[in-house]
Amino acid sequence: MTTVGEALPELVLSASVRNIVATALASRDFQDVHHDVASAQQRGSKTIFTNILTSNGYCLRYVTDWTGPEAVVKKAAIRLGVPNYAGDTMTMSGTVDAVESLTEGELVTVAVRGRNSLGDHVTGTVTVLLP
Amino acid sequence: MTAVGDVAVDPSVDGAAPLVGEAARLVEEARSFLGRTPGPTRVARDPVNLPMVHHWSQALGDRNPAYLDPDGSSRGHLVAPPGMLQTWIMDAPRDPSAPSPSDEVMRRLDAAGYTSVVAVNYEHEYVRELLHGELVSVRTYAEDLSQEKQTALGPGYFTTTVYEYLVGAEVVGIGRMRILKFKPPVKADVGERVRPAVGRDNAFFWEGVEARQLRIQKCGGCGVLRHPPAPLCARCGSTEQGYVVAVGRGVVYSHVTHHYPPLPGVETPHTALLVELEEGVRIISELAADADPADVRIGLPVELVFQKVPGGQLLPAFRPVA
Amino acid sequence: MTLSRKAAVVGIGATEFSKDSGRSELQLAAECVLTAVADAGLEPSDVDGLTTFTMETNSEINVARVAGLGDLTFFSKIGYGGGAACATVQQAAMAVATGVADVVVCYRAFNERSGHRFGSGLSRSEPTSEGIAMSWVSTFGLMTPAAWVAMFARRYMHEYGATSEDFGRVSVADRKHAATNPKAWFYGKPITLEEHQASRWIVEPLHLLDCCQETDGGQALVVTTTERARDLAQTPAVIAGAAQGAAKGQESMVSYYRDDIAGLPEMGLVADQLWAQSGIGPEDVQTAVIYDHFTPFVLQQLEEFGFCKRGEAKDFIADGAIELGGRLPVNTHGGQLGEAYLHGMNGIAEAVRQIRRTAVNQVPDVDNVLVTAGTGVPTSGLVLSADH
Ligand SMILES: [Zn+2]
Repeated sequence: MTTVGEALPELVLSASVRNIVATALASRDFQDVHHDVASAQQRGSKTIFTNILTSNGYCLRYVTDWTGPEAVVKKAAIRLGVPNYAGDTMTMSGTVDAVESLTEGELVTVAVRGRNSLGDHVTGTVTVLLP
Repeated sequence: MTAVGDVAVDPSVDGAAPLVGEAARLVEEARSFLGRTPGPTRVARDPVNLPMVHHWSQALGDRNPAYLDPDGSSRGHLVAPPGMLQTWIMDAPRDPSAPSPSDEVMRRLDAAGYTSVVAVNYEHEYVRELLHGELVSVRTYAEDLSQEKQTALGPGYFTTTVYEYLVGAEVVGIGRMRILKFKPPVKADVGERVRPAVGRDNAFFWEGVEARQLRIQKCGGCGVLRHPPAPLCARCGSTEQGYVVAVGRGVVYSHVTHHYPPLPGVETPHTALLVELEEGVRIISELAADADPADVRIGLPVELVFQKVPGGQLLPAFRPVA
Repeated sequence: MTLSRKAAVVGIGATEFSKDSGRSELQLAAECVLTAVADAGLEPSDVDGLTTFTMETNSEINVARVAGLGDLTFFSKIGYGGGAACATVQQAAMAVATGVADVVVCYRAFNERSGHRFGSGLSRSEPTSEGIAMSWVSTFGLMTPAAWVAMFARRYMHEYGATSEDFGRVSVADRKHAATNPKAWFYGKPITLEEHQASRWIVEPLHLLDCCQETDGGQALVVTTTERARDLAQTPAVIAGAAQGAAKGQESMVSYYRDDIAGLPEMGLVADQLWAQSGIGPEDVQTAVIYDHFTPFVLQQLEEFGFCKRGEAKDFIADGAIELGGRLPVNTHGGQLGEAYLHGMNGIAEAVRQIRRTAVNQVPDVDNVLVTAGTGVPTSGLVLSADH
């Protein structure tokens, strides 16, 4: 049984240049701000930064690392805040926000948050079905 | 330098700039592309496949066996990482797909000068898990377009793009991305910030700033704290003056945001603060460059930071307490 | 011993108000001085005293020489920008009342629009006590008069619930009056509250239309004893009260360190003196010229003079009370927002016209007019009265 208010263990994710570029390309996001420092700076950013598909992917990974492989991800709603720049570190934290018992299992909603040195990079909820 | 003066601007010759007609027309044109008009369907280059899943899992460090090992979960088959839903249909850099209605909205906002983009919300409903071998396609449309908003990044429009992911005719997922298309502020070279006049009566303060301390004068006679400092204590007459180092916390007592005229070393909009320090004295300072002027209000708790201003001068500034 | 009613303003004279006068500041000064002397029915050689502002670039001796004035037995300059306006008349009144001089001309002339503009921002300052004082604000990008006033205005809004629209009503009233004054720059150009609200930000919370215009021009006023005034060309405007004020914790435009910064204690000090000297109160004033370089301080001044209670100026002005026909028409010439920015001196001339009953926007049955000088700085004020 999952209980509301239960905290997930924190997960620390390095925003190294290599990780930012690797995840951008693995998600097929070729926008230059995710791999080219000069372009990123020309567009007013400090340096390259994590792309959205990756931030979303990190949130899902963070929750399914905790639930294990049986979980089926049903929903994710994230809000983007400060950029996750190369050189920074993002710490994921989360708590169980809601638990609903369905015939096919428990529908668990986790409130997640990824925080770096500038503040909240990502906040939101991930909903999974635990059969 | 004059210590007194009156006017800043002359409304009689320097009136408000009219709204630019062409930009307004383009935004209205953008609105004509809103709504669930089915745009062209974009089909994934490759069906859901293990090599791309491996690439993703390794890059994100996601070792969920449901994605990597057919026997890794009780499903008895592999499923795609749900976070990859959009990955399957991303454009190749040399091979862009036909523009969707949402692209048409973006193009017009670009043409109207709102060239920068930042994502605000990214939401998905994963209707069902994707299986290897399934070919994903997507239909996108623009759901809404706000009025022009003044944001910390610049003036801009919020718009939401909806993604309907299909396998054949079956909807397997729905995504919504809300973005802000904004006009980036033009960072002209603003020159150097004016430096303070330093004399016997205030040197300790500016030496403190160089040492990253905010110093408040303390009377050696009666102990009263005072800002601005003075060579004599108006309370006890003492000429012995020391200082304490402020702990760096306070609240906003008043604030202004400067827009015009351009000033040397001042990037506009520039928010100056009158801060009431925890020690009980008030001081003029400014909002830290990384803080949002929209968050400033009277009574806001703020904390001290030191930052370099144009020209390289180090100055005390304040930002909202985290 | 009192200064009240010992002296009167007997002549007024101004150049045209423009954006580019096309002549030197000295010429503007001499022209307005001579016009005022002629208006009084006097000769240039009758003038033996001059008062002006420390910010005035035309010294007394230069003006006296080029205008062909008489020998000077009295000359004096007042500091603190527009705060000096009414004090020049106070100095003149004291000089003639004590017999130090017979005829004193107060003047202010500048090319403030086409030449040096006060609002362009401070530059580097010298380590004098004044330079050090301004460094506490200028170093942090608080460098223009609009910005200095805006800091007070924000606090005033917070404490009393006043809004930008309340400030806008001052601008609307001034522009309404300017619209029917042919000498005003904004003659025929009234504004609406909506236009005020739509005008761009200068320094939040001040819009463009909260800020007065900038002007090239000159204004002079002739002062002599009330006794002599009765033999001159014009109906005298008797100086029933004249006062200066610099209050505890006074700074120049940036008195941010007082316990309360939502009022103008230096103007309160002026008000107390004016009512005491003149023996009248706010209820005896038919029209007022309230210094209006920026709109917010007009509200605080109405409170300091007791036209309404502290924090209630927004209610006082809500239904046209300061417009012609209202309970206290303010700035009937259009003020500095509407007529011209002459550091407050053109407002004193308007008060004189109201006493003479020759104003283009004449208020009926005027006996007493209040005039105030620059706000946020050490300041001054006058009560001008009919000679009964
Ligand atoms: Zn002391």
